[in-house]
Amino acid sequence: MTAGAFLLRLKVSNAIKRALLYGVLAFGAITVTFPFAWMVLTSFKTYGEAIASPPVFIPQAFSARAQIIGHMLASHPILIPVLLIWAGLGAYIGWRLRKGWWGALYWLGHMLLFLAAWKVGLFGRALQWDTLWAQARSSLGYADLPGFWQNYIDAWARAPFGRYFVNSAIMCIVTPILILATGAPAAYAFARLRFPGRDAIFMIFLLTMMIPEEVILIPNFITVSRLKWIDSYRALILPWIVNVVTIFFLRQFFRSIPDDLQDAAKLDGCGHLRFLWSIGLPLSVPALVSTSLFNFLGAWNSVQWPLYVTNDPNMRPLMVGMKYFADEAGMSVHLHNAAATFTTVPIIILFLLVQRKFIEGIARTGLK
Amino acid sequence: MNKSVALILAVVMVLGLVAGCAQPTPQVIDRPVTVVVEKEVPVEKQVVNTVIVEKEKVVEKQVISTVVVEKQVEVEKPVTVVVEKAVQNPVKLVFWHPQQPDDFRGKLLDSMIQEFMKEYPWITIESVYQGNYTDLYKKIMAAISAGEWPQIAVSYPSMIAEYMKANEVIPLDSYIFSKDVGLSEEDMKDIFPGFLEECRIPSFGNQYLAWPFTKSFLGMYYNLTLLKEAGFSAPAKTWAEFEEHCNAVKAKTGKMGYAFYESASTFDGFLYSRGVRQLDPTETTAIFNGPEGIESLAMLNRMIEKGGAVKPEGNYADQAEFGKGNVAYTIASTSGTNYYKQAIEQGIGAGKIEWGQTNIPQADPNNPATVMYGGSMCVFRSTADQQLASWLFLKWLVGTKQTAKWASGSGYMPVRASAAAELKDFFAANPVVKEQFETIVPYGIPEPSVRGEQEIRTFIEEAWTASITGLMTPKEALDDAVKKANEALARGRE
Repeated sequence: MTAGAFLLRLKVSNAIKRALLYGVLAFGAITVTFPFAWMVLTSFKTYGEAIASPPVFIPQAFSARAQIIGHMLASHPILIPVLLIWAGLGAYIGWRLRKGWWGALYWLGHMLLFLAAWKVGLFGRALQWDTLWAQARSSLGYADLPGFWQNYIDAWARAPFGRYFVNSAIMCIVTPILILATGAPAAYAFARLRFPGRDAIFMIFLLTMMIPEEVILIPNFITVSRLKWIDSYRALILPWIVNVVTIFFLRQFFRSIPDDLQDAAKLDGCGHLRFLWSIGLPLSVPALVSTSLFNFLGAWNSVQWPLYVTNDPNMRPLMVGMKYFADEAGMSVHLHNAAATFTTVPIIILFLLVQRKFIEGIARTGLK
Repeated sequence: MNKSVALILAVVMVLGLVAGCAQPTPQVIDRPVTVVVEKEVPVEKQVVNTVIVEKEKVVEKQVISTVVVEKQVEVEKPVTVVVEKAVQNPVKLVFWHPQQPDDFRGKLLDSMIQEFMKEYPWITIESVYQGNYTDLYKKIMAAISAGEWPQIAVSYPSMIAEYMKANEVIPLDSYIFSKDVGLSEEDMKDIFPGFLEECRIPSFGNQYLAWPFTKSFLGMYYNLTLLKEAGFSAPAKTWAEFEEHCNAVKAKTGKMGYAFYESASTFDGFLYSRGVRQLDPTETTAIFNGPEGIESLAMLNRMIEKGGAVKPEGNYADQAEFGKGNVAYTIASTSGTNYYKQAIEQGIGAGKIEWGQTNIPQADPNNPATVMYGGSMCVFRSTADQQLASWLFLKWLVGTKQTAKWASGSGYMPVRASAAAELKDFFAANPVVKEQFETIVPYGIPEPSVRGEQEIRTFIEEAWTASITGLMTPKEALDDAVKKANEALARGRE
């Protein structure tokens, strides 16, 4: 085999490997994002579309509007070259400005700018958006097309979501902080201190992870009720401020800190608390972020416990609102998905903000 | 009559009660007794202040609470009773329910509570949404453990049977049949018998432990347009007709005859309409594997084979297909009417098909029966005043006007026949509801409310699946389910 042929074979085999790898990754990515995409699409559907069988993928809210805009453009062909030039310009700027997703995002904004300019009347009276829109809508038979955001408006009105967001935010900020306040010292003790029965106690801690949450709900409820904490943030937060998973997670992290570092700190007169505060915790930021994100999610998604310990609607968190869309005869699937979308957005924003630290934290502790 | 006479009457009543309770039965000692004496007071035209006197006396372990209410009568008008002023300390009731506060049902319920509190200003009701029925059940169980239950709650009767483990739900019999605050014989006859039957729980001495509230029924939605295409002018009245219609719809139109999904309630409907029940009268033995149960599943298998019955995949897929005009029959709850309406409007289009809901087919159409379900109210043990106030609220809610108002606004069915007159305009605007009221509601029979029933429902649905997938014959599947059901019932009695 000549060297050229060998190189070619190597290249082909690498290309196949790469294609396979990308194929598997793309499949994984699609599998993971599909439910989310489905939720967002369903949030724009009518009830009929949401329960349709076979399922409707693209809601009329999108397809009808695309048709209407197409009709508007077709009725004034002068707009088509203008739009194409504008789109090309956007693509060029997007490409030059920054490649990848940011460029695509820029292009989207660029196109929205075109629509905005059209809508506010910058294209003159003859091309007034509202008039053209109304004409296209009636000629296409979409006279009673519901508002684009109608599902979101209806879903928001179904429950006091504003208040629920505030309550969830309080729970989701305070609970992870208090979990760290209890978990970090405990994890440090299990990781770096030597005392009799340390491992046995740690095992007992771990065993508590085996107890299902349902089993402890009633004893906790009785305690909270006797303490007269019903309808208070104390009841929503305090029973959950010790989290064994967090202790385990941080312990693994603290164990990875080299002994030499602690010895050096000791020589400089650093006690355990000082070492934990000044060295252990700053070195563990990825782990702290990861556990806090998990705990944030736990608090955000909690529904059973808050329902137990609150009677006052003003004290209830977001997920209780998600129950408002179903009764024994059926479910307003479209509104439920709209509510699911607006309750998920804050989580996604938070994840995007801390994703690097989060992934680092997961990778370094070897947890999945 | 004046106040002093009223007072004397009250004292006489108290003495009478004391004398009557000289040898109290255990039941009397257990429960406080509250008596209300009403007197007629003629007044002119306008209703004026009312005086109510209340006395409490402790006799042995028994609290006797007597409330004297002056009844006011307008001279030239029919007798009206108005209670304007509280005699005793105000009574506060906490009412837990599964009606979401911001939707149409929750808003209607709250407005009705406000109306009640206007009529009974000494009673305050705090209405609290506690999630769906399961959430509510779990919370009540936890609340019972913590000793902090509400005064009134909505639950399914089988859940109320569970609360009775702690013996904290009070029987309503003494209130219902009280001469003073109870219901008249006409009232009791006016309430559909199935509702009353459901409220009496056999495993607790057939006492009234529940009171009807959010009631719905199993019925058959039909697409008359499609049936006419297949050559039939009216929905099926018997199971034989049903089978014939479904197979003919498939053969002549290519569409679905009966779109179904496995449901224990629908299976109960199959049984009731064939004159049998799921459990024996003592609710200790499962009997749904008789010839009627076997025929129900066998009929489905025959229909599936001929294409007359289809199980469309997906949640509410039967409803979606019905909405698109692709199905002749589905069997579902009356409370789903609004969802069906929406599915039609957004499916084939409003007015494009002639549809309605009537009773499920029967073995004997002259003696029809179907399944009744939905939540009932129960009253928890509290003070005598709270218990009385709770009863007054329950009684008020089944008043003709109130039940008509609740039905027209909530989509649930009214609990008494006389509501029909109140609902005349509503029925004219909603012919489907009128049909449901006339053809389904009077024939409702409750499902069992015994402990273990929740498990039995799963066994029935599993048997149904095993039968239609060919894993077992209908007989084998039902025999197996009955065996498991009897074990569950035995566990429930432990």
